[in-house]
Amino acid sequence: MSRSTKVYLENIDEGYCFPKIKTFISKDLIENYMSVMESNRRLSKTGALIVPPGALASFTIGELLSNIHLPPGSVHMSEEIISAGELEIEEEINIEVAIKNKSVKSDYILVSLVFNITKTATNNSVLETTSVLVIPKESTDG
Amino acid sequence: MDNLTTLVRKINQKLINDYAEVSGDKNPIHVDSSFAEKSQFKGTIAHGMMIVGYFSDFMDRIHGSDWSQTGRIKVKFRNPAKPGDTLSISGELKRQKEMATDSVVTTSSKYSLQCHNQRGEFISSATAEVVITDRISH
Repeated sequence: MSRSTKVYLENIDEGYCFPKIKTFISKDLIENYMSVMESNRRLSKTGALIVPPGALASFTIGELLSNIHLPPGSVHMSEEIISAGELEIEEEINIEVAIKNKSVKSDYILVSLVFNITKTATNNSVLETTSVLVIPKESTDG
Repeated sequence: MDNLTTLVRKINQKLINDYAEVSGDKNPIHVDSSFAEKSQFKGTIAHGMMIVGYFSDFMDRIHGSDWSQTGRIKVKFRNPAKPGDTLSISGELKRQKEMATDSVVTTSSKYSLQCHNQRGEFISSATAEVVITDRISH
């Protein structure tokens, strides 16, 4: 079976940094998220609509997943989110992702991915997240 | 501060599909029933990040804007949430600590959060903390 052009986590090492991702957080995206989550609108102290931390963490993982291959049987073990500031809608963000820890066992790989999200305009940090995944080993031939 | 009212959310496949669209996570374990039937879960499962979002909503209802500015949460996934599940997200304040100087009062509140399904099965647990700083006007 041919392997896709996506990055295989089993092939990259601890400390690896993915290429920086830039993405725009639109009003439509947040309103769709809030609708799906049956979530209330969140307003900052200035009255602007803000991006919920859970939404931002979810979008950043979604962005990364479009670039990596997760084999069947991969399991999300834990998630840590640390907020550093509010993000208003209609802002561009930078997402930096690195492999913090990776340990290879006989039939699976444990990977910790650290995401740092900053506002493009100011470079101020808004969120740091850590996702721990368990990934079954796959044959790398072919 | 709001009381800790349990948040109830019903999970169905349409909701999972909609979440996959909006989050960008279209892993077949969430959206492809024929693929998921062959997995260890014997069917599709909700995204873990959906549960994280519910926990975050729970905290936002208590702390509002402060949650977005200083909140931190650590979530452990115990069992998958599946279509047909009704999830109850609940929590309790475990510790509140206040520190004051001449100019500011800092209050740290720590919570223990849980998510169970309608059968009482443990889906996920979390610890959350929010730190609120108030300036004292003299």
